[in-house]
Amino acid sequence: MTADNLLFLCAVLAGTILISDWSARSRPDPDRFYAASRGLTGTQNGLAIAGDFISAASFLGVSGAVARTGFAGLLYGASFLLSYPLLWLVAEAVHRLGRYTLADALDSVFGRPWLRLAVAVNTLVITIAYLVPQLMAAGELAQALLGWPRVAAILCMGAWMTLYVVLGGMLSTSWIQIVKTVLLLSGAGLTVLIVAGRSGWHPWAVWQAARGVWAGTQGAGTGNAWATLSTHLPIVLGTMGMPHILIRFLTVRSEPAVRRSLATATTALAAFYLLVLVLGTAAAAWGAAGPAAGSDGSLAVVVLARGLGGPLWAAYISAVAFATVIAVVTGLLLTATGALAHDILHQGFGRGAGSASRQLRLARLCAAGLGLLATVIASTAHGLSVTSLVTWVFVWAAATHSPMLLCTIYWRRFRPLGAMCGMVAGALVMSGWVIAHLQRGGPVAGAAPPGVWAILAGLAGCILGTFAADAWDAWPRGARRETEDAAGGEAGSPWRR
Amino acid sequence: MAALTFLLLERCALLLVGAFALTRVRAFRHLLRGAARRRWLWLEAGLFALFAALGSELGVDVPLGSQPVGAWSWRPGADVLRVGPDAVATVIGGLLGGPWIGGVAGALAGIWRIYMGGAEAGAAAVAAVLTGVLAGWTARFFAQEGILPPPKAVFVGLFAPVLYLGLVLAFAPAAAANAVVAAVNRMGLPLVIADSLAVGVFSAIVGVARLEEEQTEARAMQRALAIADKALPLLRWALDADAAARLAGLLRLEARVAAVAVCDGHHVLAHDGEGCPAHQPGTTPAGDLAEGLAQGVLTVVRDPARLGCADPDCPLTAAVLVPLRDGDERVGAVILYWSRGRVPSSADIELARGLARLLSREIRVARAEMLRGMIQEMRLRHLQAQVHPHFLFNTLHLISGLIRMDPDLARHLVVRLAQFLRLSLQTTSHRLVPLAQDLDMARAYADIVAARFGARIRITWHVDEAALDAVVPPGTLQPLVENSVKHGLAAREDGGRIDVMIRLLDERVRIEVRDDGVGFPEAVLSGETPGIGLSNVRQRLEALLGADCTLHLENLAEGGARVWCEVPLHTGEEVTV
Repeated sequence: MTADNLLFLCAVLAGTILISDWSARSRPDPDRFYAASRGLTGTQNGLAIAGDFISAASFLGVSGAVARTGFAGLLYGASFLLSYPLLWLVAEAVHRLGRYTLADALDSVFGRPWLRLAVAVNTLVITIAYLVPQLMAAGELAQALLGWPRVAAILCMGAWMTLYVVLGGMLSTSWIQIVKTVLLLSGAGLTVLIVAGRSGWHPWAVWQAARGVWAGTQGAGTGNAWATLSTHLPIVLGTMGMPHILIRFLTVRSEPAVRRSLATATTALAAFYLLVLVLGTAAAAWGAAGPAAGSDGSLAVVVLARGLGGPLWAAYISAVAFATVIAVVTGLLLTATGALAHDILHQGFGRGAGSASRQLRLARLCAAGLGLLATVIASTAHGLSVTSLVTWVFVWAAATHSPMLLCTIYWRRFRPLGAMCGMVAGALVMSGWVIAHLQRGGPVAGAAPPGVWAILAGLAGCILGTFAADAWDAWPRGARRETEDAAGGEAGSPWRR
Repeated sequence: MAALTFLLLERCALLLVGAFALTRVRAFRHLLRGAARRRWLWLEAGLFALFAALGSELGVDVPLGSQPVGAWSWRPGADVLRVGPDAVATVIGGLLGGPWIGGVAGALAGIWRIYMGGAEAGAAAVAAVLTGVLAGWTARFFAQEGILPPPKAVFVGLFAPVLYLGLVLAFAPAAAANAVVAAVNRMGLPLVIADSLAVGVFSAIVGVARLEEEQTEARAMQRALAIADKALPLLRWALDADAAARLAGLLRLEARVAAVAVCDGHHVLAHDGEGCPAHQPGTTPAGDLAEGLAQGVLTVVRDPARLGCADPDCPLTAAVLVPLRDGDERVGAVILYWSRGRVPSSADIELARGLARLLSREIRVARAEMLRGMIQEMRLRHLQAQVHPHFLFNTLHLISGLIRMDPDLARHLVVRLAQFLRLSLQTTSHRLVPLAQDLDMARAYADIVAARFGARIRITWHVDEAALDAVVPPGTLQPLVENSVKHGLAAREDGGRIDVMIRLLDERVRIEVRDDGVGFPEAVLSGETPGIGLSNVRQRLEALLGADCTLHLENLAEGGARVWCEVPLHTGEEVTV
C-alpha cells in the first residue's frame, strides 16, 4: 500500500460519504429515500444510470477480456451497449406505472398482491445474486491494491457501502453514481489520451502491436456460435429485466426526462465502451495483460496505468475502479431494500399502513440487514468466478423479468397468471441448471449457461399462463365464482391502467 | 516527498494570503457577489486569471532529472516542470462564475503559462482551460448552492491537479517520457494535496466574504424597516411642518446621525440636530443636495465644500439625500447629516437606500388611501344632490295655485317649504344627522303633501322618542314617505293611509313606512329597475352605516307595501349639526 493509493482511495471514500451525509441532512421521507422525490433532471439521471450499470465487471472485466482475447472481449462490450436501445421498449412504461419499485409497476397494472410478492422476491434474488460478485470484486481489488486479507477487505467494503444507502437512500445513491460516471469517463479518457501521446500520436501502431499479441492466443476465447449466442443474448435482453436499472426511471418527473435519461446514458455508455476498447487494446500492446493482471486479466487496466504513469496514475485508476464498485453496490442495495422493505414488509404484510417515519425506519433497517447478508455471502463464497456469477444473474433476469415485462406492456390480453408462470418457468430452468452445475463440482470455465433455453422457457410460461387463465374464465360460472372469492381478485379483464 | 508537500503548501499559503487581503477591499467583495453584468464578467475572469498567473509565478520548479530545489527562479528552464497553485484560482473562478468565466480565466492563465515557458507549458495551458470550464460545469450541476462548502470544494479541487498530471503525461515528449513519468510521480501527490486543500480554503475565504456582504445588507435593511415602521404614523400624503419636525426628530434618533432635515419639493420643512442657520427650516438645500433634490435621486455628499454651506464653522461635513417619491413624482426628501469629519459608511448608504424605498412606499399608500376617501365623498355628494328638483317644482306650482284660493295655507306651505329646504341643505354638508332632524324634514314634507292632496292622504306617525338619538344619512326618511305618496296612493282615486313607524328594538332602531296602496311592481322588488329615490337611500345607508342597514322592500299580503331598514342606536360617530 503506497501513499498514492491511500490518498486517492480516501479521497473517493470521503467524497462519496460526504455526498451521502449531505443527502441525509435534507428532510427525509420514503419518497425521498426510494425515488429521490422524482427530482432528478434527465441528464443527471442518465449519468446515474450509466453509473449504475457499469460494474467492475464492465470496466475491469471487459478491458481485461479485450486485452487477453481481442474480439471476444469486444463482443462483451458490444452486448452490454446493445442492451441499451432495448431499454427504450420498457423505460417509459415503467416510469408511468411504478412508484418506488418494479413490483409497484406490475401491481398498478394487475392489482394482484401475490404477483407483487413474487416480483419482489425475484428482485431480491437478482439483486443479492448481483451484489455478491460486486462485493467479491471489491474485495479482490482491495486485496490486490492494498494488500488486505480478502475476507477483511470484503467485510470492510460491504459495511462501508451499506452505510451510504442507510444514510442517504436514493438521493445519495444517485449522486454517487453521477460522480462515478464522471470520474470513470474522465479517468478512462485521460488514460486513453496518455496512450495516444505515448504512442507518438500514432494510434495505428498500438493496434498493430496488439494484433501481434492476440495472434498468439487466437482461438482460446472463441467458442462455437451457439455458446456465444447463449452467453450474449441474456446480456442484451437481461438489462431490461434488471430491477436496479429500471427503478432509476422512477427518479425523474416526466417522460421527456426519461427519454433524455436514456439518451444520456446510451451516449455515456457508448463513449465508455469505446474507451475501454482502446484501453484493452493498449493493455495488450503494452503487454499489461500478463500474469500481473490477475487470473482473469481484470487488473490489466491498472497494470497499464502503472506502465504509463507510474504508481500515481495506477493509484488514481484504482480509486476510480473503487468508485465504480461503490456506485453499483449502493444502487443494488437500494433496489433490494425497496423490494424487501416496501414491497414485502410494508405493502405485503403491513398492507400499506404505517406512518412515513416508520416506513423510513423499516427501510433503513432492511438496508442494513441486506447489506450485512450480502457481505457475509460474498465473504464465504470463494472459488466462484466473478464473471460467471454476473453472467448467471443476467440470464436469470433475462429469463424471468424481461419476457414478463414485454408482455405486460405490449400484449393487451396478458394475464397475471401468465406473468407468474413466466417468472416461475424461467426461474426453474435457470435454477435447475445452476444446481446441476454446482453439483458437478463448481463452475467450469467455458460452460455456458442455457441462456437461450431459459429465456424461451420464460416466454412460453407467459403465453401458456395467459391462455390457461383465459380457458379458466371460459369455464362454467358457478365453479369459477368460488375460486374468485377465495382469491379475492376481480373478474373480467385484469388490464387496469 | 514530504519536503515538496510542505514547499507547495507554503506557496499555496502565500496565494491564499493575497486572496484574503483582496477580499478585505470592498470593491472586490462586491465583485464576489455574483455580478450579472457583462462588463463585470470580464473583470471577474481577469481577476481570477491574474491570481492563476500569480499562482504560476509562485510555483516550484521540478527538474526532470533530479530532486526539486526550494529556491525560487524567475523563469523555468526547458527541462523543468513548473508546478504550483495556479489551478486553485481557475477552479474557484469556474465554481463561482460558471464555465465561461472559468474558461476565460483558464485561457488567460494558459497564455501566461506558455509565455513563462517550462517543459510542460502546452499541457499546463490546456489543463488550465479545461479546469476552468469543468469547474464551471460542476458548479452548475450543484446549482442549488451558491458556493460549494469547503469540504466539497476540496473534493472538486482534487481533480484539477489530476487533470494537469494526466495531460503532462500525455504530452510528454517521447524522448523524455520516462523522466517525465518519474517527475510526475515525485511531485504528483504533493501537488494534489496542496492544491485541493488550497481550493477548500480559498472557497472558505470567498464564502466568508460573501456572507459578510450579505449580512451588511441584511442588517441595514432591517434597521430601515424598523425606522419606517416607527415613521408610519407621521407620513401624510403631503408633509406639513409639524409632521415633518416629528419625522426629523424620530429619524435623527433612530438613524443615529448628527442631524436630519425633511424637505418638500423645494424647501427644508424641518431640521433636527446640529447645523448652522443655513440649514434651518424655510431655507433651500444647496450644492449637490439641491441637485439631488431636484432630480429625486439618492445623493451622497462626502466633501463639506459641496454641501453648499457658506459658514466655515458649520459642524456638518457629509450628507446623504434620501429621495421620497410617489411613483415618478417627487414628493420631497430626507437629508441625513454627519458632523465633524465622519462620513457615511456603506451600511449607512444601504440604510438610506432602504429608507428611500420604504418611506416612498408608505407615502404612496397614504396618498392612495386619501384619494379613495375623496372619491367616496364625492360620489355621496352627487347622490344627495339628485333628490329635490322635481319636488321643488311641484310644490312651487301648488303654492302658486293656492295663493289666490287660500292665502293662509299658501303662506303656511311657504314656511314649511323653507324649513324643508333648509334641512335638506344639510344633506349635502353632513354625512350623518340625528334621526330627530331627519324626522323634522319628513314632517315638513308631509305637511306640504297634505296640503296638496287634502283628505285623500292620512299620515300617521308612531315614534319612540328614545329612538331619535340614532343617526342616519340626511334625507333618509323623506324619500320613503315620498315614495309611498307617489307610487302607493297617488294612483288610487280614493286615497289611502301611510304609517311611519320609528321603533326602538334593543340596540337598533327600525324605521318603517307602510301604505295601503297598489304595492311595488315586480321589477322593483326584484331589484331590476329600482326607483331613483329608494336606490339612492339604500346606497347611502349601505355606504355610511354598513350592509346590514340596507333598505328592504316588501308588498304586504293584504295590499299595499312596506319599506324598512334598521340602523344601530349608537354608531360611535360624532355628529355635529
